[in-house]
Amino acid sequence: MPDLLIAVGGTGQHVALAVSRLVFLGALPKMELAVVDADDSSKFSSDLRTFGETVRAGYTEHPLINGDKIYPPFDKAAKLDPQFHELFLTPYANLLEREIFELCFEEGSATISVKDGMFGRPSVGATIFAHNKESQLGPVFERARQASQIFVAGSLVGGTGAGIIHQLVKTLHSEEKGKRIYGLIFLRWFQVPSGKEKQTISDDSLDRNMRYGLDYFFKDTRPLLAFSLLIGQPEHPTADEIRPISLEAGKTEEKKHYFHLMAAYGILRLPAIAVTEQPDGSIYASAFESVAQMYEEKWDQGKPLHWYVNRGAFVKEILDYVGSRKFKEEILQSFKLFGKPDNVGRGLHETIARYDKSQRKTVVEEITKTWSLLSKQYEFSLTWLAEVLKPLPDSFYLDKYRRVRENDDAKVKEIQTVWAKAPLLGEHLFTSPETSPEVARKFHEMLVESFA
Amino acid sequence: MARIVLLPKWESAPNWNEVIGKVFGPEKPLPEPWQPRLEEARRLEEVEAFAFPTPFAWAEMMAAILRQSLYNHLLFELYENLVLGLVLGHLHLEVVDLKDKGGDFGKVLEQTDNRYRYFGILRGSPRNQNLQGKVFGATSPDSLFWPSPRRSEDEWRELREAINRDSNLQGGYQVLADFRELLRQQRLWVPDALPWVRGLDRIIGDRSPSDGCKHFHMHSRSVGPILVTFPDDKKALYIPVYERNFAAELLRALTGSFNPEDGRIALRDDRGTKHYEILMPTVPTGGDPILAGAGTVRVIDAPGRIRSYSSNRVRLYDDEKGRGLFSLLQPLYVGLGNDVNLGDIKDRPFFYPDIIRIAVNRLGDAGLPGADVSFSDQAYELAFDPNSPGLPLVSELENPAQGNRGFVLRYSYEGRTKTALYIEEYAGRHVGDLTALGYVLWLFFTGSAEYRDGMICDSGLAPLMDRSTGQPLYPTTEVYQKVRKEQREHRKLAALQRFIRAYAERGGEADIDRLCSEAAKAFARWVWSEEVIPNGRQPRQQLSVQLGSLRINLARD
Repeated sequence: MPDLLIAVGGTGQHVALAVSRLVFLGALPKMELAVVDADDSSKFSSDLRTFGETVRAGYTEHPLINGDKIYPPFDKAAKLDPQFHELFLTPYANLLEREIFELCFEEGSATISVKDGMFGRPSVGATIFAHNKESQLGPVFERARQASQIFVAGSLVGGTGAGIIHQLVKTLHSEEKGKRIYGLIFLRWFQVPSGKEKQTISDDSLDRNMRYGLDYFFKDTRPLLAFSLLIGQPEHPTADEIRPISLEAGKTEEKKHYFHLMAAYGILRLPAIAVTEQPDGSIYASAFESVAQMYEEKWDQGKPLHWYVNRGAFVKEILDYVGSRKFKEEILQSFKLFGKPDNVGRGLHETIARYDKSQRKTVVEEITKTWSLLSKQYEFSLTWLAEVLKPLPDSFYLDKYRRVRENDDAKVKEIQTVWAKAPLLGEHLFTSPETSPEVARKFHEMLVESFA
Repeated sequence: MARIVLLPKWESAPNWNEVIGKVFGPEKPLPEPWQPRLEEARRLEEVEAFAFPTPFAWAEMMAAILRQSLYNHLLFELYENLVLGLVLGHLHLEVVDLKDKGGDFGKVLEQTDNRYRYFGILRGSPRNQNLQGKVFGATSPDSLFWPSPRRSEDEWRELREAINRDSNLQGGYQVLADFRELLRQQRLWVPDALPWVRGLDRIIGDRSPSDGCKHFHMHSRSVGPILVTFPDDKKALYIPVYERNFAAELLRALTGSFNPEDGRIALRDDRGTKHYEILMPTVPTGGDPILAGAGTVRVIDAPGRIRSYSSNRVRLYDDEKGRGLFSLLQPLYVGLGNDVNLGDIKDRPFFYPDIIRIAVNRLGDAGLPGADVSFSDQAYELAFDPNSPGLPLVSELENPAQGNRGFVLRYSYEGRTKTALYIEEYAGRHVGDLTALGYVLWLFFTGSAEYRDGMICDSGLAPLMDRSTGQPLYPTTEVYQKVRKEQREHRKLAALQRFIRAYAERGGEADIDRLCSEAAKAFARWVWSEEVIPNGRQPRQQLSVQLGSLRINLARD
């Protein structure tokens, strides 16, 4: 059973983006994702669902199981732009229900529009979650039932995550008794420029929500978690990578930040700590000295992060080469008289040879298209990592990568070696011609495995 | 570059070597720099309760204000209004089963935190037409109450003015001070640990409890219950509302007739007028009748209404008038389960609905079914007298504290063990059961009374023992009056000494003989005003007679 990451709200989605990249690079084990957010139309939501527009049905997959789904906490189709109170106080609501609602919510909260978020009002988020958890969020809990461990990521400073996280943990704890739930909890990590017009969120409101959320977290939520990792901006940042990001109105691109990488690291570290320490609700935090430190940290399989960067960069270099027009021509040439199958990797040649001659050109097109998409997935992952950590210092680059980076001959040599045998032979699984993208992915895996 | 911790408001360097390290163990409280800043709001619209991540955000806000002791905060002012408004009866507490009656939103609240299932709503009472029916607040396990964000400043002002004008304000505070004292005695009053206790403590201030917490016992009815947090548990707590002589008047109403109605028992007087209702709500499967309010008493307000009761006998058991209290309350006793015991009710009355609390507080052991404990009619006056502490427990007479004197007679009747209490003096109040019994024995000893047809009668053949109550050895009301009147007429020392000796010499045998011996001594002491020493010859005649269910050895001089 894979682990499950439940990403709540905008911050949760940012963590999910980080995790999906690290899973793609192999630094984290494969896991399942369930995103809970009212906002599924922003640029970063789209990037998450499509893994940076690299997921194409039939060609490439999302690194996370169900990574392309976002669950809004209420049925957006039924009520397109509801005010909060309209979710409950239908014309059929009785007077008593109305009185109870008005005891719990002041006019200002009751009338906010909740289409795209809870606008910094965690009490609204918490209520909407509780109202819809069985209907709207049923699939999330179904996945939680299947999961081995559960990680809940989100922030306490906005409205959606801040409102939902606590009630979500409470429900998971009561329904999944005995299952370990870890919290990846963000405090303030971004700031809002002060505007002349009245804003729904401001630095003050973020600070307020953080404090109120922490009060509730310490009292009610913390004991339900095995461990939690709190992450937030320090008062005196010592490096640019840990300074808060500034949000700008209308800009919905991903806000890349070191903290999201840190949360992803928590997915690896918190369960490891639980092996030696009693999972008793203790709270953890991260220390920062330099970004280079994180490159040296051990990730999945005990390998340092820079190793995964090297491998990713290595594979990408080769994918870029084999996805090129030139290599495509070389493959097709290999089937002609005096063609040189060894140049493109005999295994690849033999695999394509299994297809009918009339199909080969199309097969080659499809295979190289898949490699190009996979290369973009590396691009999507590695550029992000270079942005949040600074590019990998040259001293960390391994010779194996350096060689292929520096000349095409080294790439050809790798291909000839790694792809010397077709995967359908011997212990390999292929017994009949597969779809072209499957072939491409198999040869990609061989490249990945060769780096070990 | 220096190593720093990636947390806001965190000044110290990390004390671990790895990237991730522990900063708080499971018990560490929220550090001060992260605590909510609550002190800014001056108007209700400025209170940012919505920042708490729960539908009960206003309850959280109220609890946080109490935890931080922000007594100048607007919400604390409103909290005080809620407490005093309820205690003085300007607000009513209505308990609603959110799961059953709260609609979709009620279900959301109940599912979020099932401690709120039985949800208390504080509404303006009919005492103030402008406020009547308006919702001013609700109940919470942590803060006890929270104010409604929808009431206007004018409405709060009107409530505050009604409280300030109330002539019972001091009585209300007194009841609260008693309430605090009773909780303190049980070590449940812990302001440092519980926000609601801290809030009430501030409101009650340095007011002292009344003697024996009399105001709570006699002059309060309770509302609720409210499920509240205690240090080790959560319990259904009843909140006192000041109502002068409520306990005695309710007890008097228990001499009337009882009619089961829909979800309640109507208490009617001899004219059939309903003055009280005992709530007995029916609850859906899985519901809790106690938390739904079973056993709480509602007063039917009707100014100037005359109450008419002719009997002194509380109708605990079924009789010719119909079903008695105990059989009608059977579902309530079942709901309370094994928790019901006399000592607990006496010690922790705030955990019991009025019909249990007051019955036990005023009637002692007789206040619970199955005890088979009897008292004299004279003793019952203690139960109705607002200035008395009610009837004693059996244990209080068996282990007499200062001021408690009496005798506990256990006897067997039709195969069942029964208990009859003879109270001479209880909590400083003279009842005189032993003296009155001693008087009857004295009249027989001196030849002024006869045993005739199973009764002891005076020279005019008037019975001296009351058999109408079904109890064997309680003197009639007239005997008690005569004892008081004739105290000086029987000052014959030698005869009194022989009288005491006649009964004292059998005092170590059966309970009934010891009772007679104690009665003889009590009478002699009453007459002579000091202890009389047994002396003189043996009685001329000993007579063993059957009085009701008891065989008694009479002596004649």
